[in-house]
Amino acid sequence: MFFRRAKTTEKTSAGTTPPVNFEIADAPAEPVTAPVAADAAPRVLAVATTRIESARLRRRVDPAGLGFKTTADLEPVTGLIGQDRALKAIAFGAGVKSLDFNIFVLGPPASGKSTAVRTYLETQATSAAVPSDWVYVNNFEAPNKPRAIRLPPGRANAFAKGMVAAIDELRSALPALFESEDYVVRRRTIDEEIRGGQDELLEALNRKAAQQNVALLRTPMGFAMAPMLEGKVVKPEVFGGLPENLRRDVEAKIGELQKELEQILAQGPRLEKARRQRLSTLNEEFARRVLRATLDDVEAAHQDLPDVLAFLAAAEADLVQNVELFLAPASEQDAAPAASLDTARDPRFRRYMVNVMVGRAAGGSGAPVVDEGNPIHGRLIGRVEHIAHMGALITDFLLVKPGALHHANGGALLLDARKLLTAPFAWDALKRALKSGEIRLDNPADSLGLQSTQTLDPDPIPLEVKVVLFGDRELYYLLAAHDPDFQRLFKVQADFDDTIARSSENEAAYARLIASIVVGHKLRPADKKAVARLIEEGARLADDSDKLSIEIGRLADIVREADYWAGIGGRATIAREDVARAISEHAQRSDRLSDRAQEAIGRGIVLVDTSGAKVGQINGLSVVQLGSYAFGRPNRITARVRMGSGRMTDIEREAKLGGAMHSKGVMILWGFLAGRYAQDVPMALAASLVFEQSYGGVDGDSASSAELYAILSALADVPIKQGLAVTGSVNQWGDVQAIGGVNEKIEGFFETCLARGLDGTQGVIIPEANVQHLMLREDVVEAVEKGKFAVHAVSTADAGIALVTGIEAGERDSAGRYPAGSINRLVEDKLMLFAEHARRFGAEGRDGSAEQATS
Amino acid sequence: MIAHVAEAGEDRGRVVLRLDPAARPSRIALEAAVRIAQAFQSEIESLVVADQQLFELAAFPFSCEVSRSGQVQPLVAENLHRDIAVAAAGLSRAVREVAARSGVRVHERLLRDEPIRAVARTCAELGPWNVVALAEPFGPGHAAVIGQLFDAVLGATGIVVAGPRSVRLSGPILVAIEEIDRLPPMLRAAERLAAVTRAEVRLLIVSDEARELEWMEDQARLVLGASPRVRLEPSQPARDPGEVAERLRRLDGGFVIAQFGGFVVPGVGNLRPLTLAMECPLLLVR
Repeated sequence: MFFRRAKTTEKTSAGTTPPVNFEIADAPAEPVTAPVAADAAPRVLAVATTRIESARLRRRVDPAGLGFKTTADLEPVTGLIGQDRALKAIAFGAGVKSLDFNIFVLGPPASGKSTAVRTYLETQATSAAVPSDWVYVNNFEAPNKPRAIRLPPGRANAFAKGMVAAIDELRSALPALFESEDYVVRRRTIDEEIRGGQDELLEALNRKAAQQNVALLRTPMGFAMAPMLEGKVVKPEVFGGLPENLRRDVEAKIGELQKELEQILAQGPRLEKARRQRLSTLNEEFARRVLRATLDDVEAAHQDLPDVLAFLAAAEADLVQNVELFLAPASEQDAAPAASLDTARDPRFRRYMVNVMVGRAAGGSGAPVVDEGNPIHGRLIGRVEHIAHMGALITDFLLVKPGALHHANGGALLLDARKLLTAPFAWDALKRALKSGEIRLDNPADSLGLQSTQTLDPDPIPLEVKVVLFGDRELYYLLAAHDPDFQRLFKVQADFDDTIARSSENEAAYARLIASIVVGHKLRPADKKAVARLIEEGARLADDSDKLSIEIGRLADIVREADYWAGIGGRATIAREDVARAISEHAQRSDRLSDRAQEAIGRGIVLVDTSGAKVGQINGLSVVQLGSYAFGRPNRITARVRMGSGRMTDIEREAKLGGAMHSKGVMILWGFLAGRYAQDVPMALAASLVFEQSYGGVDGDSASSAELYAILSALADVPIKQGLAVTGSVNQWGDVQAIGGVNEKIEGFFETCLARGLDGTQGVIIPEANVQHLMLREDVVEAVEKGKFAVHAVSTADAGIALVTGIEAGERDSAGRYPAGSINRLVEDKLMLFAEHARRFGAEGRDGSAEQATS
Repeated sequence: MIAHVAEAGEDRGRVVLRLDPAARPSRIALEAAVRIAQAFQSEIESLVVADQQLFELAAFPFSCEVSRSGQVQPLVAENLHRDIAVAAAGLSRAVREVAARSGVRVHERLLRDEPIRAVARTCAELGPWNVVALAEPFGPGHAAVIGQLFDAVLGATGIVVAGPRSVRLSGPILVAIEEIDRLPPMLRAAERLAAVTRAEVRLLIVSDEARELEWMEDQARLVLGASPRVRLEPSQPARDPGEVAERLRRLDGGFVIAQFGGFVVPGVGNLRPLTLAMECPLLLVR
């Protein structure tokens, strides 16, 4: 539970409030029975009060003044209403062509700002130049550093398709070429000259060896030579039986032949190398014929692009070197699956493909406006993907994937600031890109040392983008305070208001806004009474009868729910009753806790009096905020006073249930008491204040006026009417100041009184400055109109205490004395008495009793 | 002359696939052996021969081995045994893989013997209706080896070889006829092979004399009758074996059936023109 503070801006508008009508208060409903000061009877007269007229409790809209029958007669709004300042900021930010003039759009959620900004930027983008296309191609010299190529818009896809078509063509043309008779004959000649030469040398050696009775045998590792007789290898025992000189002769022969064999075989690698070189030269010669003709088409289409031509030249050189890629595999079984693979997906030809990072449609117009709803690092900056191959993760330039920055390059990128900041590494990566003016793909895992696999370092792509962040004000101010880069990179602040002024023009615009919701959601048209009710609800959502909330999301929810109830009711248009039902049903779905609170009061579990009068006890009002739903409820506040040493015991604070603002309010009212009543005498007062049956904490200073009245009542020993509830803060001069949640507070007490039966004496006292915020429920207004309930406005504590006690507060006369019987006189006398007793008590020492002192 | 190869289930006759641990096998040769087995519904007898002469040579104190890159090292029996065992295991695995794809059953044996004698022993043991397939690519000097095999291996009706340039088994079955009385059995063999892949059979009549050629063509037409499954290729007198080999190559055959010791595949001399031209395996008949 807490007491909402009024906005400071709200307090300054008191001047616009109509003059307060002071009138003689009604006599107290019950006689004041509490004892009063001895020198005079209570002054029950001339109590200044401000019973607010029912017309000012809810500023209604006259449907007849709207000038249409249903929203079908209206032209829907295409943008935002009443946000000129923010829209100007966006126009400025979008117009400045600099990477550091990015825009932060501040404003409440569901206010339609994203749609409005996107619509604005898209409109502007239609007349902007179409940005370039970008592709990544293989870097044949350093494959881990793919090259980025800029192309005129609409050309990237054609380039990529051209390369696929060229490789497709080569897949059929090159094998055909290499099967041609021309090639086969040339190749066979090379084989014959080289391999045949070695074969012949071996054959000749074999013959020569055979003539010398030496056999040339093949072994698993090569060749061996053995003595031979009649075509058979001589057995060792036979050879051992030969004469020594014959054996030596054979060994010598074998040794010589073996040397020849060594020489022949040693030529093998060299010959094989020569063969490969000659075949390579032959392949190049043949391949060039087809390559040139095939790549000509792609080259001709991109004559104006030197980077593309450079790539084509590098690709051609590589193709010549790797022409075997296109030849049918030796295995017929292997050939089948290879042939069925699409060229673009065939791993053999990936290096010649083109990875289109940004490819605009040919003939397209305008700059892109990209809304990235999930701005994680990879989706924002782009990423390098990997594929598993033989247990390892590998990648290449075709696995470089674009991010939102690539797509938005040359236009605008819309991001939700909170999502961006909560995505690991994304914010830093965006700042790096904006600072450097280029999109450089980096992998966060690399910087953390989490990944040690093959990766890429692609060329960075120049960046020219307008980033628009959407966030709430708290986020903006946090970033501004804690991130030095933020204000340097986001120089434009587009601050969307939560509300707009409620003028007749804006009411008309609001009606068009409702019409656009109806059209946008394909709902039934709303009739003028329903629109009037919706405008009134807009003011209620704004917590101000002079403002209209532009929380489009909530407004759209009400209209859609009203459409539902219109459907249930079988109506063709949304009527006022449908809107009213939508609002009340929404409240009912959310007000379980409100019901429980009222039930606890109704059953006497939470003690709140709504009739009679009691000394030192008053009804305060609090607001409970549960998400988007808030409700008010009364709280009993009590005060006890005694002689003391000038100390106020704020029990909430002592129990650590009171917040700082509440404590401040209590201290302020203590300052008021001391300043008004104890100028010349010691403040020999000890007082205690408490919110009865409050266990969940109290904050805010909106109860300080009620607390003051409770203390004054206790000091004056004058009872407070329990049929009244009070809200408002006080300053040290006794002025009653505006608070927040005034409507909910009044309605909360109204609910309590309604449950017990309205008797005409019940009401709520609010600060005068809050009158302008009143947009009370129709049943509350109706009760006021019938005199069953009242809402009073006061601007001073004197007016307030007079109202709650029915006794004049009193003003000092020329002698500086308050009128006898007035509240102020009674209070002052009591404080004087406490001071005198304290003095006497001090003079007599500890033996003197307090009872004696006060007698 | 091939007339029959024992079918699976018969006790006698197989496709005897000789594997030389000293040579890298030709994949096409392995597949050709399997294709023959399929065509005749036979089985493969995988025969790895460890050349006994190498072990005898290893016993000589001066024996050396020269590697294919020209490095010399002593020839040690233990190393030889180990190298052959390793090579044999690899060869057997390769054969099993190829055969399994076609559903052909494989029997395996490793013999330590003189290579030709090992084949002869195996064929004699398995029966008269065998075809010998050589796993290693045949080279220019293999005419003598093939001749020795035909001489020594009485239990084989044909020998399958694949040249170093063999790259395919798809395409028509080409039959090179040099003696007209061999046409019917060679044609039957070709038709059985063609049935496996539904390939066409093409006859090429080979002779160096125009008159002889004309007569043979007439005889061939009589044998063929009106068979639509066999095409007779236009013929012309052949000047040398290289020219015939080149004609066969241009027909893009999937298998060539030819007579060993004739004009196309001489029994002696250099087979280089044939080894350079043959892009498919050869089934040589006596």
